[in-house]
This record gives sequence, structure tokens and C-alpha cells, in this order.
Amino acid sequence: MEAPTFLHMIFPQVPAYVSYSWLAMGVIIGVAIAVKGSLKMVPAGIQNVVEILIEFLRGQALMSIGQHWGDKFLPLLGTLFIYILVCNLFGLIPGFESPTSNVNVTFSMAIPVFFIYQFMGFKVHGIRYLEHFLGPIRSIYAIPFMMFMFVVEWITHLARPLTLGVRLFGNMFGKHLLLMVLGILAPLIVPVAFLCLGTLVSVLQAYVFMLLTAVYIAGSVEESH
Amino acid sequence: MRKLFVVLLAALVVVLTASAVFAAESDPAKLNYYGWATAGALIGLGAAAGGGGAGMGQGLRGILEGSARNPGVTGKLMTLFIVGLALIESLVIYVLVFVLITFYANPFVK
Repeated sequence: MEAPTFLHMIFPQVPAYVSYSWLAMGVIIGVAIAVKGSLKMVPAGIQNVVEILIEFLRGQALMSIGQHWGDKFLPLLGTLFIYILVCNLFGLIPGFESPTSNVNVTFSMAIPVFFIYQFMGFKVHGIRYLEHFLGPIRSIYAIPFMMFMFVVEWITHLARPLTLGVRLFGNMFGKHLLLMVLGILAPLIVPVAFLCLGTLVSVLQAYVFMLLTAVYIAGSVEESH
Repeated sequence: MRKLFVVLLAALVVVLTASAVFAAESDPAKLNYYGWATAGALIGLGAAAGGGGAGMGQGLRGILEGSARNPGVTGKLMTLFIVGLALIESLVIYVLVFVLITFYANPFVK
């Protein structure tokens, strides 16, 4: 199953997903410092790429969360998107492992997202945030229905971090598995098509993770209906 | 010499991966387990792919009809469509994860 990777050979006692996630952080921080050191009024080179990325992320955040809260959550969403994207794209380089094809890494991002959006809901609405869980009807006669809706809504909310983590893990691991099986069956031309597909899936899953995080946060900071 | 080395390397890779997948079992209970697990995995993944394909087909029909009536919105629809495809596909991927759990995490075989 496990293909040997470079960093795993250098640091054998550190698991590959840990060392490659540190490498991803190093790459991101290095690019950020390099861009920050050479900011220009007229962008050139890598500053163009970073500006396009940030404008795209800000547009997404404002569109999904709204004008009032969008800028506040831009750092969280941008960090998630860029980190997951770099981690996913590591998996396409031979000799590298993508850290997101391990359950520990994906859940270490999905569970904080759950706590963040619940915390923001309580912070914005106070105890009245619990009204989000009570369903559409407000009436003294609908109390059994409201109690039932409370349980159902909590099941929905608890399924969210599970699906976030499993979705990313399953896509990345499935892609690795497909590439490995194809490498055994037809090592020459065929895997190129699936590498293109893997690039698409990598970008798309990073985007979907960010978008769902934004949707969850938007659902918790908006007014209950 | 070089050719022989490549062939030996390929054979080594195949043998190593095969031994990981079909861990040489002599216990009939484990063999029975893997037989049922393989059958369940094939049937379940087929059903999941069929359902996902039907859902994706509905979505594709919707975006095709929409962009045939109003070609101006094709770009916007395409973005939403790709995101929707990723969400539908993730349902199939969940089945794949469960299949991998039954194969590699072995909840019923110690």
C-alpha cells in the first residue's frame, strides 16, 4: 500500500503525512513571505497569482457569508483552501504523499470547523441560537414537534464534520488507489488521463471544503427563521 | 541487464502489493470473510455508481436545457454544476471508504 516517499526516508520516525503537512506549511509560508517582501503597486510575477487567488477567495466569502461577516472569516476560509489545495497537489508529484489522504489530517480540519461555526452562532445570537434547531413552527402546541426537530437538527449538525472529513479523505485516497492499480495494470500512457482527473479532483475538493465551511458559517450567523 | 533489472523491479512491486492485498491466509474463516466482503464491495459499489450516475445525469440534463434556453448563463451554471457533481460523487466515495474499511480495517476478523 504505502509507497516510499522522500521525507519518510529522511525522517523515518515521523509518519509521512505529518512531514508532508509540515512541508506544505513551509511552502505556503515561504511564498507568503516572499510576496510580502516584494509588494509593488504594479504587481509582477508571483504577486499576480496570489492577488488573483485572494480576490477569488474574497469574492467567494462575500458571496456565501454576506457583506457583514465575509471579511471576518476570509482568513479561515483562505487558509483552509490554500492548505488543502497544496496538500492535495502534493499527491500528484511522484515520491510525495498528499497529507489529506490520511484521516487524521482531514478530521483535524473538519472538527475545528464544526466548533468554530457553533461557537460563532452562540457568540452572535447568544442563547437564542438554539432557536435555529427548533424547526419552522413556533407555538405552544408544537412543543413535541420542536423537541423532535431539536434531536433531528443535532444529528444533522453532527454529521457535518464527519462528511467533511470523510469526503476529502475518500476522494484523495481513492485517487491514490486508482493511480496505484492503474500503475500496476498499464504503467505507460493510461495514468496520464487519470492524473488530469486527479488535478481536477484536487482543486475541486479544496473548493468544496471551503464552500461548505462558508455555508455552515453563514447558516449559523444568519437570523433564525 | 538493465531490462532484467526493470522486469525484476516490476515483479517485486507486484509481489509486494499483492501480498498486502491478499495477505496469505490459510484460515478458512478469514477466506470466507474476504469472499463475502469482495462480493459485497462489488455489488455495493456498482449500486452506488449507478445511483450517482443517475443523479449526475439529472443534473447534466438540467444544465443543458438551461443553457440551451439562455446561453448567457452557461458559465455560471457550469461552476455550480461542477460543485454539485463533486457533492454527488462524494456519496459514491463514502461507499468506497466503507469498502476500504471492510477490507483493510477488518472489523470482524482479528
